[in-house]
Amino acid sequence: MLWAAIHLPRRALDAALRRQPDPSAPLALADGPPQRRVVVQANDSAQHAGVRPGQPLAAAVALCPGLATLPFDAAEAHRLLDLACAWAYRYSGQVCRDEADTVWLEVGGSLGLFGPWPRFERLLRDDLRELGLAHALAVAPTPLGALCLARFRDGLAVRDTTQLRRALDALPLALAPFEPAQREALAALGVRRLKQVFALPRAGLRRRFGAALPDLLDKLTGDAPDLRPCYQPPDFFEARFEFDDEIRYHTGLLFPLRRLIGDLCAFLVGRDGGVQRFELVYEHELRPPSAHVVGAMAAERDPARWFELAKLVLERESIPAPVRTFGLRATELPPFVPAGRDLFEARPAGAMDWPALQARLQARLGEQAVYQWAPHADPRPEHAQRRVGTLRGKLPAPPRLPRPAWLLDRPIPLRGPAPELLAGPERIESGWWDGDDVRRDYYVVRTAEGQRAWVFCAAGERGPFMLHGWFA
Amino acid sequence: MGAVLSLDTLLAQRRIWRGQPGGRAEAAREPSGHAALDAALPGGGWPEAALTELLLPADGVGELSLLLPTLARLTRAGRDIAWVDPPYRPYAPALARAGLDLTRLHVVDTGGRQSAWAIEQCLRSQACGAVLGWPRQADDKTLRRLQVACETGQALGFVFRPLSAARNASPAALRLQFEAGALRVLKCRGGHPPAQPVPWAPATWH
Repeated sequence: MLWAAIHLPRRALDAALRRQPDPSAPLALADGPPQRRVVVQANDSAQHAGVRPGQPLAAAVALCPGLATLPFDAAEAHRLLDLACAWAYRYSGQVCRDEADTVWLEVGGSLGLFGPWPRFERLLRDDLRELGLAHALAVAPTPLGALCLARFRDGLAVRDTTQLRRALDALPLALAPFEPAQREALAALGVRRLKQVFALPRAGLRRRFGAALPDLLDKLTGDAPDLRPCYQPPDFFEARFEFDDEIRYHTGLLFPLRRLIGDLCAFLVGRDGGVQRFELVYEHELRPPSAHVVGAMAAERDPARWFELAKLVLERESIPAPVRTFGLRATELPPFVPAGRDLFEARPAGAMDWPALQARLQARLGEQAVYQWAPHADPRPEHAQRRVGTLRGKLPAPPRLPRPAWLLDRPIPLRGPAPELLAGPERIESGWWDGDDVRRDYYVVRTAEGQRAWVFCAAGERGPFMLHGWFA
Repeated sequence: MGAVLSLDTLLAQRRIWRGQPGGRAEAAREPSGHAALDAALPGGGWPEAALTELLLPADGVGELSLLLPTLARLTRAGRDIAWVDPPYRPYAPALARAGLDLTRLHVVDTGGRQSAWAIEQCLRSQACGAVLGWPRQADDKTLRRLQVACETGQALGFVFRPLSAARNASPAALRLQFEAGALRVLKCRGGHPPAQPVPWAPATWH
């Protein structure tokens, strides 16, 4: 077993920065009672201006007048760790997390596919940067050991327990995974580095600190197994974005939309699934929440394509009321089957197939806007075809007698001078069983303007004619 | 200057305007299926990857009969056809009689206001072999966009417009006006429009 520990030291700040259109603008997270708010975390540009964690907020604002502040949100930071787990799951089947700030993945089994380690590491770091997560990363045979190394020196990788032991020897006590009380007690003993703890007699340690500390040391070095529950990807995806102000126009939702879809697709790649439809959920100030559905013809997980479809939906459907919270919810996650492509296909980049085009048209025009006509075995012209989404199955044989290429939605009286009869009559008499029975004589006529029309009149009569189609 | 260009190369690129078209060696790639019309058009058929404008005095003068052989050929070759905002219902039994593969025909109903957008998307996507469009309003700028979309998507574009639009200039590569018993070629890229209308009558029945 070889564990990579990904330590996310400022995940609350990252979660906040991911929501900012410009992550380089100075930003600080503040916490504490309203009378005395204290800076908890600050991003690089704010730190450059002199803002430090622990500073009173008033002092920070005085130092950096353009400082944006947000409340420290622990739940949000927790959700970000879930996202990191979902992302890590694409590289390893064994992913676990702790309740604070670390995600582990077992990389020993994944090296064959993604390795060697330097390349794998670059892959992981590129992804983390894209997700907007500041991180430290290290590899060791035990999860706790990897975490200690990641906090000690970013990028450290040790393969076996002897190397690990040597690396841990140099670890300062402050970085060891002990309880604060234990750490203080050890410091009082004069311990500065972990090597000195390992050198202490076990029996004495046990007597002084209880059984937990020696057990922890064994887990750290790999002498005892460190069992952790593995991460299981959930069967749904839900993410949301809260705004400080109300958003009134859809353009204000585009940036959060891009983030949400990026997260959704990262999650889908991790579980090797796709999504066929998802909901955009809006929460309003004084109204019940509303939602729009975005769908495609087949399961997809390309973020660019989904963003384009969702954007078309946003442009088509207006936001019902000013939005306070914008979320994305996908409950059905069907398996994803990549479309088969010919290796030597000559189609240039950017080409779409019909399902993709149909999804784009439907996203902007509505679900009902794209359809096909399916012939149906019924002699009555208005029942001889049906509107269907996608035409499938065996089609009935085409009729023997002439039929117009255009059919009117409903027959209208034929105006103008008496037309010239070209063919007919053809008696169509049917439909007594469903209450829509017709008894008509159909003729093909030529109008004074040269149009060829399909008209009918009541059976056995010679007019007045009703226009039912054009021989276009 | 100085570079010597072969005349054949220039002719092949159609960069030289020729008063009288020479002998047609190559076979037309998009024949219309009507011999008289194919003979009158410079490429021996529809202009490839370009917009064709059909100007109608009224509905039902044979505008679909003109296209049915082309549509039948394209659908049988597995290409999709989009009908954007048709004025009436395309009648499936008649189209099946004309030999079209109905599974390849798609109707796009935009409600009229977004037909130009939908036509452009269909043309540009490269998913369609041909796109038939009935735009409510189409100004010069719109038609130019559609013409560019045809080139991008390598598709045949057909727009149906009332006869009143014949007076205005148009960027379409081919403009055909329906007359009684004939088709008048108002414009065709790559050659002179024939002086006389091309005799043409819709096939008696489908």
